[in-house]
Amino acid sequence: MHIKFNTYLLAYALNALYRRGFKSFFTFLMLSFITFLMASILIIAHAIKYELSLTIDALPELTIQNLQAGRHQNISLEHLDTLLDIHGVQRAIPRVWGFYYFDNAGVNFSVMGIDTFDHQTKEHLETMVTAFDFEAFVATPSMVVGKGVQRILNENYYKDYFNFITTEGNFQKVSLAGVFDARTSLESNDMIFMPQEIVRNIFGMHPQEATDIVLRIANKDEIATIITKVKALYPSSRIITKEAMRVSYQSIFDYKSGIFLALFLVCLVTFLMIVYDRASGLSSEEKKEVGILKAVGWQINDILKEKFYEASIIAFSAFLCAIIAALFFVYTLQAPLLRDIFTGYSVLKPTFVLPFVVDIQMLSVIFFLSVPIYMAAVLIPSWKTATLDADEVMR
Amino acid sequence: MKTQSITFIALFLGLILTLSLQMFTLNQQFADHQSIKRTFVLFSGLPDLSIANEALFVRFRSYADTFSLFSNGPELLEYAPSTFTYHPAYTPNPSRIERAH
Amino acid sequence: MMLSPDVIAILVLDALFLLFGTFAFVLSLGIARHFDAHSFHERQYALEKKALLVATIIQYIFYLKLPLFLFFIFTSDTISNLITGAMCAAGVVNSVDFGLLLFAFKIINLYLFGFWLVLHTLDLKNETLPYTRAKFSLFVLFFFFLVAEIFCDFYFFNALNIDKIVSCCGTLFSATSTSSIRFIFELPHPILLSMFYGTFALHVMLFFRKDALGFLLVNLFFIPLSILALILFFGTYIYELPTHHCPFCFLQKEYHYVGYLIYITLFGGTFFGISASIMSLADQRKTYASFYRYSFYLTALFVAIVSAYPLLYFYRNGVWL
Repeated sequence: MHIKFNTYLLAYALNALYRRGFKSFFTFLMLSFITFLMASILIIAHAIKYELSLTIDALPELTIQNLQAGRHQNISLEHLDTLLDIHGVQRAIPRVWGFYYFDNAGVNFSVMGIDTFDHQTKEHLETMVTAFDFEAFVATPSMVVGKGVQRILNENYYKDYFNFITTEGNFQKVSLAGVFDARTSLESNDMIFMPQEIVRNIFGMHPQEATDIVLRIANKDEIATIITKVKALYPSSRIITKEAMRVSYQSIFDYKSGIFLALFLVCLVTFLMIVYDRASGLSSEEKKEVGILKAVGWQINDILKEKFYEASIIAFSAFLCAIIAALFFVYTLQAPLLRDIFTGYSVLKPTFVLPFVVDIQMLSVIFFLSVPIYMAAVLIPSWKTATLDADEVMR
Repeated sequence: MKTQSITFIALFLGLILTLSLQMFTLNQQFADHQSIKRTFVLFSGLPDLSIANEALFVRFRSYADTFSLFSNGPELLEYAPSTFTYHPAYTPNPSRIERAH
Repeated sequence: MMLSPDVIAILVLDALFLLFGTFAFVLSLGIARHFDAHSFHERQYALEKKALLVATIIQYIFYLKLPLFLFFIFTSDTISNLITGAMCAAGVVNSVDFGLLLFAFKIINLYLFGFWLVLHTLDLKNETLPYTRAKFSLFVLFFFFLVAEIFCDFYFFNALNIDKIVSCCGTLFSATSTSSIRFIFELPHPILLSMFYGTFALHVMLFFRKDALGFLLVNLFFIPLSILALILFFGTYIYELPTHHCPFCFLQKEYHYVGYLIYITLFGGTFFGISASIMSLADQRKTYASFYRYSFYLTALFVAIVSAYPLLYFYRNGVWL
């Protein structure tokens, strides 16, 4: 029940580990590496989840899509006034957006139409784009793009404009007005923003139609009632709430890292077998050591305690080293190789600048899956060593 | 004997210190990212990250419709509640929802 | 089925406990049947060695179960974000029929394993090893509790379903007629509080008198009484909301995780109290003053924390809830 920290025993354990040299170092290295791998994956998954939940607050409260036969269709702008009449709805904003497939590079750009008359547009663009000239942006057909889009356009020799091909086969020349700040790369990488009329022209959309309508609602307690009302007015609509998105994010990333962990367990068990095996096979020196210790008066419990110190030294140092290495790998090196598990196969990849988030919960998961498991692997071998008969091993 | 213990404890504390320093610097480094990211999302109004953008149902997964439920994105596996923005029906008595107590 | 990393970590450790527990159980059977400290038979030596292994395994399980229990509560709180209707761990736990049973098992097992270790220490201090047979017979019994808990754990995580709408703690712990624990709300506050503080006063008195049997009974009585008082009275002051009675919500961030402190002091205090009494009863020669002291300090801290909430509320607002 009472655990007292004994520095002499610690020194003895350190010496014992040192005497076994390579054997202890190998165990330490293996444990560190396995923990490092697990920690990296969990940190990446956690950071992506955090990024999503961080930005989710800024999203509109409700998104209304029009479904026809279960597929997404454009929504008519006639609904706008009806929606605005619902109590509690602050603003109803029609949006025009979609994908533009660029054949030469084989990538999809996400094209979003912006309302240039909205007083916030200018302010927002100026914070996110360096040296942005809003007047010039409005004067000629222009666009603001993400880093990835700029790179792809550059590769295809479009330095300061791009020719979109409209549905009628005409060219729509749009000049490049700015590039989004690299810090938003995870969100903005494949995005192109330009005035709504131009997007309508490129996509051949009717002026009285929009891709979807978003509702801004001030009081979040009213959301449920508003959903019921919208559903009653337009039974074919699909309404997406922030809350639903939050839940699906949580479950998808839990699932993703869960699948990884489930597979990872195989690796962990293999490691355990190796540790168990190595710890069970005692060399003659180790046997002699136990014999001498017993001869000078150590009890079984003392030897067990010493073994426990050895295991703790290895397990805790390996755990700490693994965490340090994983943070360096994910944030400083931007997780080479491992990030491909999480990103797509498209050539339009963002720089992997993840938000830094490490919390107690994740550290506990990594801890529980490394330190106790290693301790478990050496528990029985330690007992076997400690209970060797003194006379037998000294002979 | 004791000096070795002290050396080890010092090394161990050194590791903890390195970890805290690392966390501190990383935290500083990424602190200014948050507000600009939020501004961007407020501006675009679109969810999800551009880490996979092969198709609509991968890039804007949350907006994917019922037909794209089984999507083939890299971080998506065939797992209904996670690949599709799912919410229990809004009607008071949906048949598919199992109510507990 | 929830396949999140947290859940997997818990299940992996559960599997490990089950494996080691079964191993220890098989060994314990032999020890409980044949152990005889006076024998010089070869088997006796083997049994003594095995006894050490079992004790090591039990220590391993116990020292891991402590943080794991906190982690379990923390995980349940996280899952509550995912499940429609759940506000805190209470909703998640109650989404399965045996949820409260699982919680009870977890707490009881911590107490049992803790007592076992106390008995173990007591046993090793005495060169005649008087309690060895008793402690291994006890472990044979405790093992079934452990298995029950692990299976509950597994079925619990297996039965969690995102599609399901569960009751929020607001309805689970409410005075309305649908609540299953409605009857406890009929207890008037003055009676409850006088019982609570009366028991605490008795606790203090018996602490100074070092009366083992009385201390044991007081501590045993104090656990359910405190939980009742938390639900009925103190909780409402922590939330500053007269209708909210949940004993789980104050484990969350919004209340600065104060629940962890409250429950650790409550369970720690009663644990040391009960162990002190049992040890004193078993071994009349010593009084185990340190355990009495721990028990007293932790319990006093618990009472101070929970009392501070209503007092501060009254100080700030000038009225009671």
